[in-house]
Amino acid sequence: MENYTEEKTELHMSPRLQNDFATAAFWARFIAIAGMATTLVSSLLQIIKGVPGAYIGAFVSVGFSVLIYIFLLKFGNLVKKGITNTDQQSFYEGLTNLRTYYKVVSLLLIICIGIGLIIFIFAILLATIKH
Amino acid sequence: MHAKARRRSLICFESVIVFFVIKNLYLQIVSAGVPQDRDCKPNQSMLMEEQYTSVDPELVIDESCAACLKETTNWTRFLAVCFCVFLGFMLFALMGIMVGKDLISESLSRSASTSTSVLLSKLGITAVIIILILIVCIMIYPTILLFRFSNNTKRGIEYKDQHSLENGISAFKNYLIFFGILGILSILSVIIQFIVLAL
Repeated sequence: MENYTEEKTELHMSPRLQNDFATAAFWARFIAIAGMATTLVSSLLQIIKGVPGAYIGAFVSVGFSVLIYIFLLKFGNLVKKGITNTDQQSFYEGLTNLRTYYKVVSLLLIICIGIGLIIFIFAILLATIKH
Repeated sequence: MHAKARRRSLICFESVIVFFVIKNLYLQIVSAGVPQDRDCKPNQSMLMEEQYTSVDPELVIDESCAACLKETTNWTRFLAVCFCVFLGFMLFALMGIMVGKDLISESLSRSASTSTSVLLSKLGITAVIIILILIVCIMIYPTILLFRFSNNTKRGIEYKDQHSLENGISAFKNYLIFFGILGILSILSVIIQFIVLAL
């Protein structure tokens, strides 16, 4: 603990950190574009197959995927711009988008877990009443 | 007739989307490959090398960036814990199916009328076990990477430890690469589905 506090210096953007951020930005953009495209095309496939409720499902899934991946795409673009042009503001905005992305994903996960728990409790209650 | 025409037009529309997506991804991959191609094009590569490898005094992990990264690590730790719980449930389900495999197949064979359906039910249980094992194996690696990113980055920011921060961001990069490869596989599966439907 003492060792750490004694060696306190400012964090800097080392070449390794810069390369890692650049690679992460590239893959983040790739994941965002691939995720949005895959969701869109698979939703269209469901519509073509004539699955009941495919239109609503497509609307919801495409909406959610855009909501989630847009932040990842922004992170990728802004961090890349920040590193290439040594633009501190872009870099910071990119990191802000990464934080928002994980916040949105975590909140959606919490909502899903909540809904699952409610369904589980209702199912148990229903089974108890029937018996 | 009308439905057939509509289906054809949808397939055409989808093929255009797939084409543009593949084109976009190809362009991205090509543009990302430029800095690695250092020996072939010395003039361009010198410029790119300078951009990526020189220690730029202007770009720093200042207080605002550090605060942002620290908050990100809190959320990623939460996600990693959720992944762990999910993995635990999967392992539980796997153990349950493995223990009660004979019981399940017995009850299924009672309800099944022919020998073929009995065989199919046994194959189904085996397929479920294999799929669960695959999911568990696939999910372990990103969970470890997410934990490593959360812990190392937080430590790096709190104690101003450059080495920990670098390790954390490296783990995050590997995490994104892993999901990128999964993304490629999902694109391939969608393309295969699309081809099957078009045929």
